[in-house]
Amino acid sequence: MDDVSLGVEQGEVVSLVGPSGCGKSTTLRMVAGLDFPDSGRVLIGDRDMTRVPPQARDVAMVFQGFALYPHMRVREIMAFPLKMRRVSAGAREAKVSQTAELLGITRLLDRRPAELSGGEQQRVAMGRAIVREPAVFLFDEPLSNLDAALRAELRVELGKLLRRLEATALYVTHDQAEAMTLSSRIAVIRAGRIEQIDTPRRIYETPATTFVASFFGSPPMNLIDADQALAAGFTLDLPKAAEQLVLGVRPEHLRVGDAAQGLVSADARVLSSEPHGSDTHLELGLGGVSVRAKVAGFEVPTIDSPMRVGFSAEHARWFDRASGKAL
Amino acid sequence: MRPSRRFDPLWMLGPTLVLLVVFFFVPLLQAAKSSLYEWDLLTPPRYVGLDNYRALIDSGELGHALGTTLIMSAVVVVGSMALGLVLALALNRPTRFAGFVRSAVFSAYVVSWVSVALLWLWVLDADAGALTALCRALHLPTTHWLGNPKSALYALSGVTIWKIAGYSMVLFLAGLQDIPRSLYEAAALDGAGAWQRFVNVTWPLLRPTAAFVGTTSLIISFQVFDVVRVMTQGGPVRSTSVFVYAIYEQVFLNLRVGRASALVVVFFVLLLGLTALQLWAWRKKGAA
Repeated sequence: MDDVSLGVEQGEVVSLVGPSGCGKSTTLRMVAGLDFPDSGRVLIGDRDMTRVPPQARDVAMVFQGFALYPHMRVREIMAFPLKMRRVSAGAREAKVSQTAELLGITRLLDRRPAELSGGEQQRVAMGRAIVREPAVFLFDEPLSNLDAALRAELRVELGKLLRRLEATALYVTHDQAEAMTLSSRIAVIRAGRIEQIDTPRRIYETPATTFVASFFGSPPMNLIDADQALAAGFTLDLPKAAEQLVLGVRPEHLRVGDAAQGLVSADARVLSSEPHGSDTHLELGLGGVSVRAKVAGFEVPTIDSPMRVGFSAEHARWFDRASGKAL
Repeated sequence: MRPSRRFDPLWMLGPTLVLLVVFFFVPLLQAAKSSLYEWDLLTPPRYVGLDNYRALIDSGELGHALGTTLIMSAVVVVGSMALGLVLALALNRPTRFAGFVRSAVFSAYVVSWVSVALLWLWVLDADAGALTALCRALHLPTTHWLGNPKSALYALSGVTIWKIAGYSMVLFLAGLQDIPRSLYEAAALDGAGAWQRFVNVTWPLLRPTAAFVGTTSLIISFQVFDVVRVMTQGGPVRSTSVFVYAIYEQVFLNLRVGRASALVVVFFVLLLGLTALQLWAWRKKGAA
C-alpha cells in the first residue's frame, strides 16, 4: 500500500474495491491488526491503534472462508468473543439468542460448522461479528465463497442488517454490485493506491480515471481515443487536442437507430448482440474501434447490418490520455 | 471390487503372507505352546500346564515387570508428547534455522537405539559425565544416575524421551500445519490472547493427533529393550527390568524358556490391546 489515506465516519460503510492483489485485503488486515504498516497510522475513534494487537482493537471481522472453529457448536462460536471479554454466562446466552434470532439461525445453534451450508456458515460468521457490538466491522469478501443466487440474496439481507445496526464498516470486495448496493462510499484501489473515493453514484457517473470508469458498469464504460471517435464520424466539441483525449460513454447512454437522431452520432455495423431478456448488449463496429451499447428490450439485429449510433453530448466524459485522469 | 483373475491377489500377497506366517504366527504359537512347558534349552521340555503363569504371578515377576514398564511408559509418553508439542510450537515457522533444528531433533529418532544408549552412558557417567559436570558447575546435587535404584528408571525414561521426542514433534508439526491461519486470526479478533488461542483453537484441533502420538509412543515405550540392555542390564536391584528385558533375562540368563514364553504371551495380549487403542485413535484422527 502506498500513501493511502482513508477515513470512515461513524455509521458509514466504505467498500474497498479493486482487482486481485491491489492491496484491498492488506488494508483491511492492517485495520484489523493482523498486518502492520511500515509507516503511517491506524486510528479507531481517537486512539492510535497502529501497534495494538487485534484482540485489543474492538473490531470484528467476517472472513472470506468464514473461519468458524470446526470443533465448536454454533452457540459456542457466537459466544466465544463474549467469553474472551469475560461476559457472564447468562448474559452471553441472552446475547447469542438475541443475535441468532436477528439472523434467523436459532435452529442452527447446536450444530457444528461441518453440518451447515455455505449460506448458513456465512450467517454464523456474521453472528459472531455482531454479537459483541464492535466499534468497527471488517468484511473480507464475505460473499465470494457462495454461489451467485445465494450471493445476491445474502447481499440484500446484509444491506438491511448493516443499516439496521447503523454499523461502521470497511467492506472488501471485487464485486461491483456488492460495493454499489452496500456502501455509503466506495474506495477504488489499484496497485496499492486509491484511485477514487466517493459515493457509488459519483463513482459511476463521474469516474475520476479511466481505470475506475472501466471497473464499474456491466458492460463497462466505452473508452475510445478521441481521434478515433472523430475518424468514426462523431462530431465532437473537444476540450483539448484529440491526440491527448479519451472519450468515455456508458453503454446505456448510447442510442441506436432512429433514437440516435439529433444526437452526436455516427454510422456503425452490428458485430454481435447478446439479448439478456430485459435488455440487449450490442457490440458495434466504428471503423477501427468497437463500442458496447445497452438497449432496452429483446433485440436480435442482423449481424453486419448498418446501424446509426449516437449519444447526448452531456453524457460524454473526457479523460487525459497520458494520465488516464478525468478532465 | 472383484479381481478379474481370481488367483492374482494370492500371488501378490503370498510372499508377505509366508514371511508373516514363518516369522510371526508360527513363533507366536510356538511361544504359546512353550509357555505350558518347563524347558531349560538343554534337557527335554516337561509339560506343566499353567504353572509358568502361576509362578510369574506368585513370584511377583509379572507384577514387577508390569510395574516398571507402566512407570516408564507413563513418564515416556507424557514427557515425549509434552516435549514434542513444545518443540513443534516453537519450530513451526518457515525459517532456515527452525528447519535445521527440526532436522537435528528428528535425527535422534533415526539413530539406532544402541548408539543412543552408548552416547547417554557417557553423558550420565557418575564421575566424568557431561550431566554430572553440568550439575557440579551449577552447584546442583548429583547422583549416580544409572547406579541409583531410585533414579535409574527415570534416567532411562529420559533417554527414551530424548530419542522419540522428534517423532512426536514431526506429527504435531503436521497437525499444527493443518490448522488454517484464519482460525487464529479470527480468535485474535474475537479477543483471545496467545494462551487462549492455544487452549481454544490449537489444542482442540490437535487432539486427534495427540491421541495418535500418545498411543504410538505408548507402544514404543512398551517395547524398549536396547537402552536397558546397554545401560543398566535391568539393574540396579532390578529397578529397570522392564517387560521385554524381563523376557530376555528369563531366556538367556535364567534359561527358563517356559516362563519367558508365558511373559511373551501376556505381553502379546497387552500389545494387542494397545494396538486396538491405536487403531481407534487413527480412526478418530481420520474422522476429524
